Amino acid sequence: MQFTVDQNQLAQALSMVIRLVQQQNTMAVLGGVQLTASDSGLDVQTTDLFSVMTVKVRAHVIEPGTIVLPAATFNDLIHRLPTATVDVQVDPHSGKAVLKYGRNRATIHGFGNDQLPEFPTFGEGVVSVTLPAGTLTSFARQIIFACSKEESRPILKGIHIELGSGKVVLVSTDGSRLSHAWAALPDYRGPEMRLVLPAKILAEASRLDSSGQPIVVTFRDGFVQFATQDTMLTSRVLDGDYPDYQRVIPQDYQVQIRVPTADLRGSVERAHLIASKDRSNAVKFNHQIGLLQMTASAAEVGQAQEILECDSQGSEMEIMFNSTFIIDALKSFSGEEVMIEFSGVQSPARIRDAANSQYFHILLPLRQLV
Amino acid sequence: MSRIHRLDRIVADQIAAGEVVQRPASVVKELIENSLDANARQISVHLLQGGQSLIEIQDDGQGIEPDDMALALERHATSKITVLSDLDHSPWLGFRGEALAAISAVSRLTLKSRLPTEPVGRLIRADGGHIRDQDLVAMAPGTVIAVSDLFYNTPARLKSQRSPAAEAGWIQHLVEHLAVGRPDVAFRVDSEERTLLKTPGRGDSHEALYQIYGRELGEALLPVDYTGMTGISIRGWIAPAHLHRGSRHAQSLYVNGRWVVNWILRQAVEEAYRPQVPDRRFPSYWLWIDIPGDAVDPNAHPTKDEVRIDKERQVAALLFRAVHDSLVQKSTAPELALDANIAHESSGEYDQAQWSLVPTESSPADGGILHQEFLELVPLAQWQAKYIIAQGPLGLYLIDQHAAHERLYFEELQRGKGQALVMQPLLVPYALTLTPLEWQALERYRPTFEDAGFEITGSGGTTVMVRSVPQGLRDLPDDPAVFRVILESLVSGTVQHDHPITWIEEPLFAMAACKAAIKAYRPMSHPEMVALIRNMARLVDPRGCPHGRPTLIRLSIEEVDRRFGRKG
Repeated sequence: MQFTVDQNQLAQALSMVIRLVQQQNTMAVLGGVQLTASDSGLDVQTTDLFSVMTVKVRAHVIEPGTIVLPAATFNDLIHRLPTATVDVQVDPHSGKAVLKYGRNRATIHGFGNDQLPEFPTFGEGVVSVTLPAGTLTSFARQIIFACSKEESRPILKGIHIELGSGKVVLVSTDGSRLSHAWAALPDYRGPEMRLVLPAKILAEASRLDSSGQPIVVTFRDGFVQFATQDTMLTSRVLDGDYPDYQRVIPQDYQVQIRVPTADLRGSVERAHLIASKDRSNAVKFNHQIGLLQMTASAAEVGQAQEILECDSQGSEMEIMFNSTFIIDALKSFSGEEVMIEFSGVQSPARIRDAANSQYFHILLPLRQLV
Repeated sequence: MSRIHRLDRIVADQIAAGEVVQRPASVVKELIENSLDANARQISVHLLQGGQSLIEIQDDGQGIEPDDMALALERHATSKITVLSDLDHSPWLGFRGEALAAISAVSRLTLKSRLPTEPVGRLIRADGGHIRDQDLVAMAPGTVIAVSDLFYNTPARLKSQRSPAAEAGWIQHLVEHLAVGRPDVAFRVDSEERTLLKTPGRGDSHEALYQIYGRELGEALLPVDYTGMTGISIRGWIAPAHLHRGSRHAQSLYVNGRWVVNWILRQAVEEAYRPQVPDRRFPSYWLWIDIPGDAVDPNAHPTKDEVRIDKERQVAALLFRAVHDSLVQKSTAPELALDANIAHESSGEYDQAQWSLVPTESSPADGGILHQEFLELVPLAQWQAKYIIAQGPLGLYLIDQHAAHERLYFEELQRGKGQALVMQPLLVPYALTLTPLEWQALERYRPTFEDAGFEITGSGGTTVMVRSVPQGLRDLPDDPAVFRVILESLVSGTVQHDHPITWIEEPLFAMAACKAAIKAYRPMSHPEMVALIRNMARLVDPRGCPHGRPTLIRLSIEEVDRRFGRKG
């Protein structure tokens, strides 16, 4: 096996795939990156058995073949090469790869004849949609933060994806808050589908956007695949029933408040400084027409009071939230103004970007124990 | 032809004996209990080869009627109860009429007894349960039972016996428990030619403890006297925490006068010591628990040492409170023992001149002795950037700056937990199917869970829905799974505190306190040291850091004087 490849392209490909490689592996070969040279070029692949990523790199292939090399070592070395191209030659018997760059060379011991485990290939009867570049990146920013980080309910560590009727809807929740985002799919004519994708895979898939190309998402029983021209990420989906989230999203709101995003974020962050010193982490929101007042107090630290003028309608209301949840939600907005909507002192509230109705967050207020 | 047949009486007795007589110590236990039931004032035990070749027990009790001598060796022959309901109020230690029969079935036994009213005693010999001969014998009033060649006819049991030294050790510990339990009886144990143990029998348990465990422990013992509202009373002696040991041999609980082993009660006492006793070390205590009679079932176990107790948890909670309060109130700084001291401590000899029977000082109304000590401490310097050297009322003190500061933070965090709580309702309730035991625990502690901020509703069968969780239990995820963790710890019985949720947080408080506190090798200025020591005096429990290390140790002025050859 022998090929010559552009150092920069190979380094970029390795940066993509290396994120799937786990630090600790009981199967040694999983700590490796698989290089497959063929007539169509060089395939760079890694897997953690749950998902697999392959990046195609243009290469001048002299002799085809496959080798698995220790991922971290190979990646670090390729990134530090001083030359524009590198020549890689593998001795199939010893499993050693000789890298030649300019007058210098390095030898890396591979995993011999071991190869990465095969992933099932996608056959017939699949459903696929094409998402414009940037869609996944927006989704990732808008909803990943609300996923659960706890192991107690593994299904909540995933993102619920619902495909159908001209749009795709993504939902995440950790049990106390919920984020909801959607995008139009005017060309989609296929069947309705629901699945739960690990948050980590959505984050990885959104990195495919860096190519600036549209991403083709393909669904099959138990698997999802994200592909651009050069890169392909295939993953299993999570098993289990996702909770019925529709009924926790209120239909009517008694109070609607419109405030500048930056002002609100500043106020809540200052109140949070105090609130976070108290175990409850609570910030009280007091709404009067045209005014939003936020207060926080911690027994041994002090109090904070913030008043914002706002554009509002509805009744006066005092309601208490976990300040961390509010800040997380505000960080996801890019627009100038946010809409905060209360449906009752003990009922879910909605917070969204005033200029963008494609995503929103649902928060349950805290309750004071008497 | 029938294959099932009745076992020969001797074989049946040997099998039954296996339950009661497991090792020489069991023989000693049964026979001493008989002697105590016979109102003996003096009991002496003589052992050869750790009791394997001879156990001889002599008492000055009321003796056995001459006509009863042979019957005494029969199974289920007893003078102590006649109908089963007698058991409920039985003041006797033995009651099943099994002991002598069981012992005689597996040994060569000589029984001698004389009533005080008779001029001579009677003697009876039995081998493996068969009576060999009977005779008259000259002896003092009382009973002497000699058990030789134990297990000679049960080779399997014989083989499994430990070394004579180990068995003698077991017997010694056993008699320690019994002797402390009955300070009004003089006990003596001799093994070969050596006296292992001797108590004066003057009715004072403190004196008995002093005799058995020596001066260091005897002088340090703290009294416990506590009566609960339900008539349960707890009295006795506990050793200060720094005298911890590598085994649990010096722990005795006497429920209604009977020495018992009960895991839950033991846990409760050890929990009270926990801030001061390191892992795998055990505190020493001797506590008499009086529970109104019907609450105890002594007939739960063949060797009678595990009893069933009604309201076990309640008793455990009282025990915890009693021991904890006593420790906090009466602990002084552990004294630094120097080598010279060790040489003449615990010789085991009774030496009236060395000690007075005055128990530890009574506590001042405001706070314990240790609090008072802290109040009067004057820091002199910092040593090695690790310890504060201070002078105080009882000598020279070394204070571990980290341990002390850690304790301070720990209590601050504990106080914080009492503040008004906030709960986070869940958008997606957490469904949980409980085991019957978990369900029971939930039913029992439901108000506690609700006060803490959990909202739990039933959902048919043993499935519950967690609808709200407390917001910000310290460093715990605001996660419904915490609910399960707490339930499980309730079920497994590892919780001693009245408040299970507090208990869950405690180790986390300890860890947070450890991180926040100043570390060793941190230089301290004089005002800082003064401030730290003043604050220690205000703590609820300044004895040790939450991990069990002491906060301070003391070198007494007497010790220093002695070392310099100044006779005060």
